[in-house]
Amino acid sequence: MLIESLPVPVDHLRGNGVLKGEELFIQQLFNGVMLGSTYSLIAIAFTLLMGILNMLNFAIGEVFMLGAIFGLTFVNLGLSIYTAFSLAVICTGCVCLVIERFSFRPLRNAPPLVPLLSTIGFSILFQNIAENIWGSERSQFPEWMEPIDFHIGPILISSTQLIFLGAAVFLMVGLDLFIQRTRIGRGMRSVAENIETASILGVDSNLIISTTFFVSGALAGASGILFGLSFSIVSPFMGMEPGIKGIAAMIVGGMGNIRGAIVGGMLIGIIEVLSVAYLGATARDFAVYGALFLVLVIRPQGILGMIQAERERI
Amino acid sequence: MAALRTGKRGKIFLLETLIFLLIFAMTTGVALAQQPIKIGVAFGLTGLWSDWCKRDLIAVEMAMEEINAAGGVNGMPLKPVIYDTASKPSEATRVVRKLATDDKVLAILGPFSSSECEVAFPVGNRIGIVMIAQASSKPGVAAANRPYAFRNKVDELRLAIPAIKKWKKHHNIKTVAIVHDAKDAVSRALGTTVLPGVCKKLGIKIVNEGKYVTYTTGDFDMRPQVTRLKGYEFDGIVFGGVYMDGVTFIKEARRQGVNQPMVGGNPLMHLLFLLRGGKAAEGVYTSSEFYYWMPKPSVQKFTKEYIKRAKNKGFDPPQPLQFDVNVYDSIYMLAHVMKERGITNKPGDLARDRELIMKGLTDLKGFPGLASEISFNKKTGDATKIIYVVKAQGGEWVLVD
Repeated sequence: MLIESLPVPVDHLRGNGVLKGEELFIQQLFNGVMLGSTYSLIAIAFTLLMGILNMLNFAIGEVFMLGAIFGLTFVNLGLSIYTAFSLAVICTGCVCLVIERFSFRPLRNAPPLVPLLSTIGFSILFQNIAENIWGSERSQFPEWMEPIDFHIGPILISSTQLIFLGAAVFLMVGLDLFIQRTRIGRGMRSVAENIETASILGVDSNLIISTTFFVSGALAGASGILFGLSFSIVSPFMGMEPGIKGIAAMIVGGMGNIRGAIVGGMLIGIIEVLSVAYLGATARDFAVYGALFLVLVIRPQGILGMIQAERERI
Repeated sequence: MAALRTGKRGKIFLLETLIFLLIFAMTTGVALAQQPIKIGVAFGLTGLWSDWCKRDLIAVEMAMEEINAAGGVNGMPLKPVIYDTASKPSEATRVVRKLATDDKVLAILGPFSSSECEVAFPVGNRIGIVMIAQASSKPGVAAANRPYAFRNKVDELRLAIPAIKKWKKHHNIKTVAIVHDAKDAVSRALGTTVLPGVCKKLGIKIVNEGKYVTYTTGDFDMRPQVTRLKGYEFDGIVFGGVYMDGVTFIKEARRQGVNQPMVGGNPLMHLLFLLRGGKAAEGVYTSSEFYYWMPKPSVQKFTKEYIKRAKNKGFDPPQPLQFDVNVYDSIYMLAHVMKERGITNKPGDLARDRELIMKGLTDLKGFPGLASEISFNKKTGDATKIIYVVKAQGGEWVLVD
């Protein structure tokens, strides 16, 4: 016996009734919001670096993957989910510090494309390391950790979906307050305007940049664990697609804008789910990237982005 | 010099020269006879199929060790030349070409998937080298690339018929909804042609005909697909896809209360489907050519040795899968036809040897494989074997009567 479970008498299994068109639509819309909250969290990780350092860290998708893998490894070592979550988040924050040390700091004066290419290299490296250490097979968190489901009318919601949504909102408000009200946040804003001027004015720009990288890595890692719990999937290849969708969400919402990242993520999630539900899986990428293209044509700065050069960054 | 040739010393010199030439010819002949026979291995050791293919390497290792320990093929040992296709069709094409032209192997094991075979088979067929796939089961893939393409695998159509028949009978199925992968070649064929065809033939109504629910390989979110199913009324789910997506789908379906019984194609037959699917996977039907607890002594012996090696390599679960057995049997079949047809393994005979192997496999009838006797259909290049219908029960695939 591979698992300790008794056979379910399948003859007694039947569906719970057919949903009507509008009920289906509401459930699909909700599915979209839930998927969108995943993309929003990743988009925040991207947008933080974009807003402060004007840098696109392509490895965020793989840091997201590492978050889930670290979390699962700690759980398998016998740690509680809360300890595993905290440790994994710290680890992914540190992974981003490594990226900063080798991919950003030495290349600070290089053309913007150079650190970008360097992060692509990190992304490939992380995926290969994960594949070689943890194997290419999908794994999952233990079954007892799987989410609890609630019914609100015809809508089915899981606990992790609610956590995702809550985390996205909390991070939006929390990061906003952090950046606006704290000393480090003020430092981040000054570095975002001009690194050299900030340094002359006494801001420890290296510390601020490292903190920004750490926070973005921790965010990506946290969303990776929540994703792993929500979808029961942990794999070395899980970061690629959410990573790209996260970039799309950031662009749609407005680069460097945290609220924009949330709106962009939700929009991408809803478009994706509705296209899969009503047009089929093959139409998904066409719909998502078609929407991205449309936004770029109609409003190149993104939905909540600002066009002025003097705009307040992040 | 003239004195040497005519005198006694001259005769001795001549004799010595003759003996030397004789010994040289003999030793060279022995050395040639012991040149290993190179067999190409084109498996996806990274990427989507890597877990399956890495396991298959254990079967390659076992079969070749056993054959070589028993004297090899007419005194020549078998030697694998292994390349990674990265589970990508384009890479599979390059690997097949490299194995055939640079490494000059006599035959190739793999590629693994139908997507890879569809593009790599034509290359091998043009060069004239036998390729035996262990997992590809999309109907017609080898048939389009005869005479050098073979699959030691029963195609999905023939596998699906008994599974759906028994599933229909046991659950009194009258209507079904079809869900399939729109990207992977075999899953697409299963969902769009094979499974709907079998259902119709068996008098089962498809409620979402022409509007099948689709996903793409590796999708992590199956919520929209399952929610869409909730708009239909049906007795059973027919699933065309590989086991990892099967796990994602069935767990989400049960979560959303879509509890109808499910039947799937052969790519569902993996122990991890049961392990990862847990209770949600219970009762799912599929079919296969092998299950590791078969009471046959040859299967038990193979399984015992395989589990030992798989555990040492850290595979979990360590039990052998159908594709491992297909690879193992393929190597034995290659060794058999190479012996029977008397290949020389000389560089000058490369094309002749490859042709002899192809003819030998084409004519092979009732070869004693591990799980059942194997023959190749001359037209399709696919294997003919016994098919077993199985269902998930208590965390195990059990035989359905």
